[in-house]
Amino acid sequence: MKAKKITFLGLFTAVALVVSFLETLIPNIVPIPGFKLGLANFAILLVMYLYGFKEAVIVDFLRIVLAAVLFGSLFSFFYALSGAVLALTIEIIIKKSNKFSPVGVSLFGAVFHNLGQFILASFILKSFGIMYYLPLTLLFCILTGSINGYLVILLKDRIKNINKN
Amino acid sequence: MKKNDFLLIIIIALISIPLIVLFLFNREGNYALVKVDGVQKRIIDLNKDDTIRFETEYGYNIIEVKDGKIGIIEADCPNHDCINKGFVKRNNESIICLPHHFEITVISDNEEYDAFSR
Ligand SMILES: [Zn+2]
Repeated sequence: MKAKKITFLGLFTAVALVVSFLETLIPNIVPIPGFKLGLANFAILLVMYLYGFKEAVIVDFLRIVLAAVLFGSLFSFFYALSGAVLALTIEIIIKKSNKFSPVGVSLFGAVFHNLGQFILASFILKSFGIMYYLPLTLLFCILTGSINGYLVILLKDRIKNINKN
Repeated sequence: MKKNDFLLIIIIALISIPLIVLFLFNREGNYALVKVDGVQKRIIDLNKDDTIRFETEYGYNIIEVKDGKIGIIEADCPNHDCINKGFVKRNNESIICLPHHFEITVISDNEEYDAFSR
């Protein structure tokens, strides 16, 4: 059972890493270096729903470190980290509340992920000029958040069944 | 999905869409403000084609002004995202080079600059 769990967590880390890489190939809608929409989040949420909060934090952190080493920079690392800390915190709170499906949890995660990145960029630039791009980013959050959340709904019971056998 | 999920989507849409629509009416700006570490370095007339080099403790960025648009054409930052952003011309649009703490923002006229610096 333990080996199986580790195998699955490794698999989710790999999936999240591949999606993170693919995301670097999409042109940014926001003029911030290292800025990402967070499409890899469905893998992190799946881990959260299948295994728990601690496991999700570990897989997300592994993803961020590996992504920075393999195809990122120090800046992309801090971006991903600032987004992930806020996103994971709000996701855990919202999931515990039981008031939302994975889609709602994912939407909150997407919004806070992006807020984290905007706050970090504003802090570095000592300027709020980039907030101009926040509304467009929030609108994109509906898209990415819904896709991620829907993938979690689609996949979590199927993977649970695989794990039982 | 639960009712709250839909409610959340509607709330995010109600906050973002009106602002996006409002921004669509932003006109083309006449000036651009260059800031490093949030401090104004220069105000650039977008109606005069020019190439300007900025050198700071973080590195250099070369700005080009052409046909009323402004962009970064060369820089020694690690990722070159600022160059990839291309050219901007509408009010409030910006180009950022984060490793250099460097920000260009398009503004309508240079009165704003006076208001800022006061
Ligand atoms: Zn740059």
